[in-house]
Amino acid sequence: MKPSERYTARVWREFKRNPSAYGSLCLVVFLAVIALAADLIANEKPHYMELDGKAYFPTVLDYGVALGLARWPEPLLNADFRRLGGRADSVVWAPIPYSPTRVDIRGEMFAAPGAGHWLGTDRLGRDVAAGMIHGTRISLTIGLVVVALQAVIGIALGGLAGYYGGWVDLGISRLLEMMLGIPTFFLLITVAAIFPPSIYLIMVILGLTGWMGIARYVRSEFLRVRAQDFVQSARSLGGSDLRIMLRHILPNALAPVLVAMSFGVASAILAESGLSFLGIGVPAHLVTWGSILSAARANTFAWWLAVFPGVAIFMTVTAYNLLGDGLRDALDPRVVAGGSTARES
Amino acid sequence: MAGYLVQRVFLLSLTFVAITVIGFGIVHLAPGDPVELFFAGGLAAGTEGVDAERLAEVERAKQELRRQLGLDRPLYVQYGLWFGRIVRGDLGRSFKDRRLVSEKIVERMPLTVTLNSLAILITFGIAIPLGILSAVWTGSAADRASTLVVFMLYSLPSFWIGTLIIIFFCGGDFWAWFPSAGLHSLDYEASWPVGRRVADYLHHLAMPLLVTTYGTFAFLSRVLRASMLEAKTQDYVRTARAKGVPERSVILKHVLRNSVIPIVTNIGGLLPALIGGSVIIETIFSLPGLGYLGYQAVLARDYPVVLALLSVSSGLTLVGILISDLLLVAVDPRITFRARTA
Repeated sequence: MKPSERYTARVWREFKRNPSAYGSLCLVVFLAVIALAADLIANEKPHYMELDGKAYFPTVLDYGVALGLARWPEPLLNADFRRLGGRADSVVWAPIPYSPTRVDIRGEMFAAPGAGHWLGTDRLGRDVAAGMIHGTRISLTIGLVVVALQAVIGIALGGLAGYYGGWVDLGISRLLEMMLGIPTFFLLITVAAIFPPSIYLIMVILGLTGWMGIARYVRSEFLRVRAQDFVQSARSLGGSDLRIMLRHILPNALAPVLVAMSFGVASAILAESGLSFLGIGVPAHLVTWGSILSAARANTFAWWLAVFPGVAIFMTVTAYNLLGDGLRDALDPRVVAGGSTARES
Repeated sequence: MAGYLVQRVFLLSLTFVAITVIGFGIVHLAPGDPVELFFAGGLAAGTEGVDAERLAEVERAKQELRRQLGLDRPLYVQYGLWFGRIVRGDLGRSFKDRRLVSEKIVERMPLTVTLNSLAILITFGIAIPLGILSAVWTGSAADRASTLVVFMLYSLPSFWIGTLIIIFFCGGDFWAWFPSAGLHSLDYEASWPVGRRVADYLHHLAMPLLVTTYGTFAFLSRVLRASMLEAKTQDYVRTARAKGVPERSVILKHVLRNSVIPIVTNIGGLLPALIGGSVIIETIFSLPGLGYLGYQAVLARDYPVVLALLSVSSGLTLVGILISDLLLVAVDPRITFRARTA
């Protein structure tokens, strides 16, 4: 039951005809590239350095050391690359020659955006541009992991409820109703504030509290499809329940799940930055969009701490919302437009 | 109808119990003991060199406080006692200042409720006319523009807009058009004439209100537009046009009335936002409302307050779901109690 090539092609054609959806897809890809290449874009270590007649590739070497494949050579061990770069024969810096958590030793606290720091620095002299680049990685990771978690829970529970019906459905539907009755954001704040801050904790609570939309779609789709002829024939051929669910019914239910997942990424990113803004999200040593923005609350003169990360959050959330909207229109024109787009609760 | 109502209320109460169990469990199993926190200040200097008798005394005082707060009993007993009190409307006393939680909530309720009901009123005032216009002018440049604007408002985080407002409009290095915190000016006096007091209040409330409103507005106008568009393509609308009903009343009577339904169902969903959504806005603007109370209680591990707010807001959510269901029947005679599940 893999969607035929023609269907995929039609979806892609429909999708490309929608400029806002196509544009947001480009933005999403662009953000993913930034997240992947964050170490190459913003790094206090130079990409290439020729020192005393020997050539080094510190950023590449960094990965090697992290993987245990390489060791830092003597002159670079625990080196201050800024000073080292000064006496190197030739050196190629990253476009933003700062690491996000590097406290500036020259003590450039609250530097306004300018030639030295494009987007300024924060209270500790950390470069905001570097923080933004590396924050992309954290935001996207949280968004994707949370949504993967939600999809797994939502598909499993929704699928079971829709496939078996009866008591299973009754139980899972009550659970759904209960979860929908929980004031999620307040619960989120409670958990995030009470437990020690951790990025994994955030992922788990966002995942556990946000699967209901997907479960509802999957349940109704399973209910609809399970009575159809091809499912009956698969069963009469001796297909096990699990096989029928995964191979025959699930592919039919994937389109709305994909749409819900796109909105889910947006809302997870919003929730994480909201929590970090309140100071109860990610641990203090991590620099994220929300935590940079949070610093602006206490230092209202440092407008750059508020403007840039806010733009990043806004653009990312808009992109994923528009992407979801476009996907919905392209995947199935019959699906009615509704208000399940992500926003803060 | 009565049977349906009983069944709904029964299921919703089960849900309520389950939510309180989860909330109670999370709060009590979490690290961070309020008794230790209470004594942390006095013991901060360390216990070295303090004679053993004193330390034993501190230990006894801790035990005594634990007993007073009921924290020495098994968790399920604590839950049972707590739930029994909650049901009778007794929300307990705050760990922090030993005041009645219900008193604290009642004291802060007016602000949060005022802020949110004003926001909802303004929202309806703008969203309904705008929804009508965009249904009339579907596909026009104005419609596309307003759709895009609403969509962007939708993705605009309120904590960002709030922070920008504080930075640019509330003192600081830029403009000082609005106060950045609180509800009254520093020189506020109760003896001011009513007009001046109201003006002062509104001056303080304007920016928080703006931030609250654009959020609800973006939410509701999207829902309204989608359902207007759906209602517009229905057969009864074509029929109405065909028999010569003027366009004006087609839109106002046939389309609008039928598109109000999803808005009604969403009003229930707005109730819990009363508390949850207020946390960020009230924290940014330092407004003494329920959200701020909840946030501070969470930070101080003031369990009775946290649990009370959690119960009250999930109670509100569930009542909101019930009201939505009932309203749905009231506005749409086609829907009966029997047909509606979940």
